[in-house]
Amino acid sequence: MEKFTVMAEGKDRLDVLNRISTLYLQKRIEVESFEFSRTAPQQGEYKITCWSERKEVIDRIVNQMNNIVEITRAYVA
Amino acid sequence: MEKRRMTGAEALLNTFLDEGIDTVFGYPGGAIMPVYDKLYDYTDRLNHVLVRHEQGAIHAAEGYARTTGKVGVCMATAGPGATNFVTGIADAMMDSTPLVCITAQVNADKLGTNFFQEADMIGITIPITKWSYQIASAAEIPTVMAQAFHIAKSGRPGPVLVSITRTAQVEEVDYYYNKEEAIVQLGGGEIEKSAEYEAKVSEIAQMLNNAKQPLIIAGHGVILSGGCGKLKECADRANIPVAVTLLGLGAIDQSDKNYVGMVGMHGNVAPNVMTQNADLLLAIGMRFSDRVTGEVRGYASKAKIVHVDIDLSEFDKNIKADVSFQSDAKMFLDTLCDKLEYKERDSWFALHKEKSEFEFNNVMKPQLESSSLTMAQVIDAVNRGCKRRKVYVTDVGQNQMFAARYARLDSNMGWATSGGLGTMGYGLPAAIGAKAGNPDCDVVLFSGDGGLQMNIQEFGTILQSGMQVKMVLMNNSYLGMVRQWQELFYDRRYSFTHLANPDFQMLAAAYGIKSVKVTTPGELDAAVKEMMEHNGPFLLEAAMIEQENVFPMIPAGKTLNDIIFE
Repeated sequence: MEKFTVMAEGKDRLDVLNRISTLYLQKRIEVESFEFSRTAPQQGEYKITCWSERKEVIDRIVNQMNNIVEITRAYVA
Repeated sequence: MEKRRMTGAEALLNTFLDEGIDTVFGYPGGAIMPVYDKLYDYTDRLNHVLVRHEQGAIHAAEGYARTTGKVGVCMATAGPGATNFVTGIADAMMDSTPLVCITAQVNADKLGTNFFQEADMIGITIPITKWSYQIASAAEIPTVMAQAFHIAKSGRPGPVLVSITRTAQVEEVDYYYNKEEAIVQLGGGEIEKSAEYEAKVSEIAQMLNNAKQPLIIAGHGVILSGGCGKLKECADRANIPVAVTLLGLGAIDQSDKNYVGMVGMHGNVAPNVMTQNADLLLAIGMRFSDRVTGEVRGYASKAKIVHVDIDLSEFDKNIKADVSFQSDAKMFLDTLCDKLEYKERDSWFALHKEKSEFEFNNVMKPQLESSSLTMAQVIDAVNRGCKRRKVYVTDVGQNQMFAARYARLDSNMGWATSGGLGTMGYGLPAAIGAKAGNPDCDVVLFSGDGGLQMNIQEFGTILQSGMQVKMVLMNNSYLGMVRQWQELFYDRRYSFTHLANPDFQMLAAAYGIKSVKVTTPGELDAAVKEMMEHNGPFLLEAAMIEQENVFPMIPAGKTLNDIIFE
């Protein structure tokens, strides 16, 4: 298992947390921590520390995160 | 633009008008009463189709959207009304159908109190919506609705859910609709035709030009993007065969010289064999669904795969592509066309001819010429009987696969079917929605007896609206597709697939729907003629043999090389 840190920037809406967590839940990814911090008015940063055997699985989730309307950019740190 | 003082309910209806929405499918109830009260004054501008169940409303909105290219709109009250949308939302998400679903919610100050008919629709639908928003005050309505419509139809289209509290419906707002401003607030942007974009398309064009046996597979994205004309142009210019997916049917005329058929589990033999023999596969606006690929390990093993899709998250999800390129399908085809070179591919097209003839002689001809009434004959008779522009809608199961295989579909006609989710019960309401959006077309529904009964209450919608939907019921008194699998893979143990059905003729009569029942092939043409010439809704019931199966078939877990014919 390899540890990954995924970062996302976007709006600070609470349901974005749910949209992101749903993606990890669907793929049964082990999430070690899931943090949100406000970076500017109505803007926030999401940080997910997770474990997976394959990076491509995480890459696919990052692509799905980039589809979330409120996310401006998601990437593997 | 002048601001106008009005209630949130009225503001919501005005957003529909400002978006050019002419038809809304819905069902009233407690929490949405302020909207319906205002709707009473808007019936001259908005056509509201009163359904009999909220699932009917959302499938109707899907049928409307799929066959018009516009956003489908449906409305339901809070709680059970809203949760009845869930299947339709999931269906629209799977099939990239642009919807704006309005569900009412309890008063803002009562949220989270388990108030009467309170259900957390945002929470329930997060995994199956493209976007969702709960409106707590009327002031949010213009901006949120402008964003909702934009999100539903932009990029890869999908369903958007707007949960609107009763508080927001009754509050007053200074109404002002500024779509551009609302979209800017969302951020993001379109894919641009940069030098890098051009270079990537040139690289793909070069691959196509160098290929000896290339195959284009066109999916729903080609239709959604309006790229059908460009697809034909590209295929003509480079002399490349084109196959389509179930949702891509109609992306190219079936009479086109380059068209080779539908791929997939019940697809045509030729395109499936060609997939396995191609040296280059160009997949445009499709997602390599498991129904298309079969077992992925044996899929297109001789081919370089180029995957073009607007959705980045589709890349390498099911099939690892050699080249993945994010683009709108039309924009891609438009850029590609000029870079393509003509190449003779006689032996490659000969494979199509050989396999098509094999399929026609061994599968299609026996079904079309059977002395017992077959689904193939029914669909073929409807093809012959439709004289105007036609829109075909199907339910799910054998009826759907037979329709996909035997319907004559061209790029100027409509086609709506539930592909990804495979929702039985989709057909009847979707046909109502398709007819609402295409009043001057022949809208024909192909359904089985199982699927029809899943939303048969929508006969009431037809009765009330007078919508001239032509319904073709292929009644084999079975859940035919499940029965087929039980026969082939479960030792003929027909566990709970036989249906004891009502008298559909009497049922149709009870709803004022003219009907006819046929039991032999010889009766078909006259019955179809009567159906198409009747000035009103019509039910044509075809009593089928119970044991009919859809072939060819690629069994689950098998590769495209493992096509079975019996």
